[in-house]
Amino acid sequence: MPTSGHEANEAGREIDASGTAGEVHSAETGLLIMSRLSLEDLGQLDDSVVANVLRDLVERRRCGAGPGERYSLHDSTL
Amino acid sequence: MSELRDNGAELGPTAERLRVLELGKHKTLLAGIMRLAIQRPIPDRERALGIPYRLLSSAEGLAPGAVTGVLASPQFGAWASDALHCLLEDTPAMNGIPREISLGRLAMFAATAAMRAGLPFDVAVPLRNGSASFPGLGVAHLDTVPPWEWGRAWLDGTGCHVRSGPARVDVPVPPGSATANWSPLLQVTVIEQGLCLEVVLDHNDPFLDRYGAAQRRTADPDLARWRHLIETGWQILARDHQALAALAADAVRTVVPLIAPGPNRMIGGTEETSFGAIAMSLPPDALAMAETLVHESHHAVLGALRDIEPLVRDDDGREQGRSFLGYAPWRDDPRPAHALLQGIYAHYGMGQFWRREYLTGAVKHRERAAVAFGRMRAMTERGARSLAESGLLTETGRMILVGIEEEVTQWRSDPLPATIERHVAELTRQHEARWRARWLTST
Repeated sequence: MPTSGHEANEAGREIDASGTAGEVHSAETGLLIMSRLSLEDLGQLDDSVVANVLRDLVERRRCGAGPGERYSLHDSTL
Repeated sequence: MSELRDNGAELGPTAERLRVLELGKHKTLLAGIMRLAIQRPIPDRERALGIPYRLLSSAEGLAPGAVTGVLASPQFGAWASDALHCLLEDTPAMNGIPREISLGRLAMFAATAAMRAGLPFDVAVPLRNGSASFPGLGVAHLDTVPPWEWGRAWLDGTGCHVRSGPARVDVPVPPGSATANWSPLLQVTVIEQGLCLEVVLDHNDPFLDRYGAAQRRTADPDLARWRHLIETGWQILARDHQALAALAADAVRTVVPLIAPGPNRMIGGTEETSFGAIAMSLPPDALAMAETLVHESHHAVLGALRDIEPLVRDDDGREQGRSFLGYAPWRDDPRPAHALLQGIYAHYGMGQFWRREYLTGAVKHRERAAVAFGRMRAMTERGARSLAESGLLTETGRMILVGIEEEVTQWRSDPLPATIERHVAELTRQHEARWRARWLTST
């Protein structure tokens, strides 16, 4: 797990290089990199990097449905 | 994307990989929350977010796994999603509670992680209705009067404690046993055929009360029954349905018990901000438990996949007031495209389960399995036709649907007894006829 500001900067560059918001692979790459970052490094990421990954998430969630949706509250008679 | 689909659960992504991506999502949300909070006027921001974040970070240095477990939990995802939206919209309350109190839930996550890491701490924690709910562990009942307030939690050489004014609760470490005013959550771990299911039965987390159905709030008198059904349901899955079991093992960490809507009825649910949690009322038997684990884990996995790429396009007709709504054979109301895909995927999963039970399961359950398999097969087929008409699937969504259709077509070579075939066909026809009479008469 990365533990230095250097790692945060590297992660930020890697996320930026993975594509712009809306491209298929950028979301997966961005989330994978974020999953590996320590909380210390998370705090040192550039605001713009966090904003990009976040925007990507929110945009994807907007496709087809709103946030916080329940998938199945199904009621079955036994 | 290819590796996400290239696994043993046929069309499904690897749930293990989706869990990692969900952790990445939760960390992204947390990073966004910490940044947005600075821009908002929040009383006690340091108490609500700053101090807990630093405690989490310290615990991570000592025991990274303990912090990862907390950050990856479904209740953390639900809290982080609510908190981010509250801050984005700059609303003073979050879920009807002053936002600094709700944001301060981070302190409970931090205290839980620190307790697991064995790191001494002393932090302010939010209390709701006189209780402090430690995520995934249990509830300390201080029985204080205010609906919400700040209390204090600390871990020292004598153990973990929570205090508000004169009221104090000592939390056992480890916290698995019940003591005065401490209610631990039921933890069930069952290993069968080398496959492990590890779940918490959580009836008390304030951020897992989001299924639109009544939740069992008090100590559940049926805990032994829940444990028995989780264990025996898992034994069926792990023994006879290994790919489905592997999916469920990664996608289900928490079961939220709901109150059944009536005798001989059960409900289940999954919600997209809380990957890892599923909700259900008490199933009648082990087969029903196994089926529900399959059903809800499919919803969870497809929901998490949507964080990576869209499966359904925005409905252009929505702006002109003519959104697509299609027939879903498992529902009485018309459904949008994304909900149809969710239902198709879940019924496809259940179809796999019941097909195998029908072909190789216990003889005493053969008729039940035949009816269920026939129903799932018919509903998946019909739902897929309905969704294909929408024209709203993305390329990935279309590939998933086509793959399901191809496999379900092969299921047609598994004959059912003629009486059951007729029974299923009649149920299917009647449902659609009722639906059409209700929803299409005015068009």
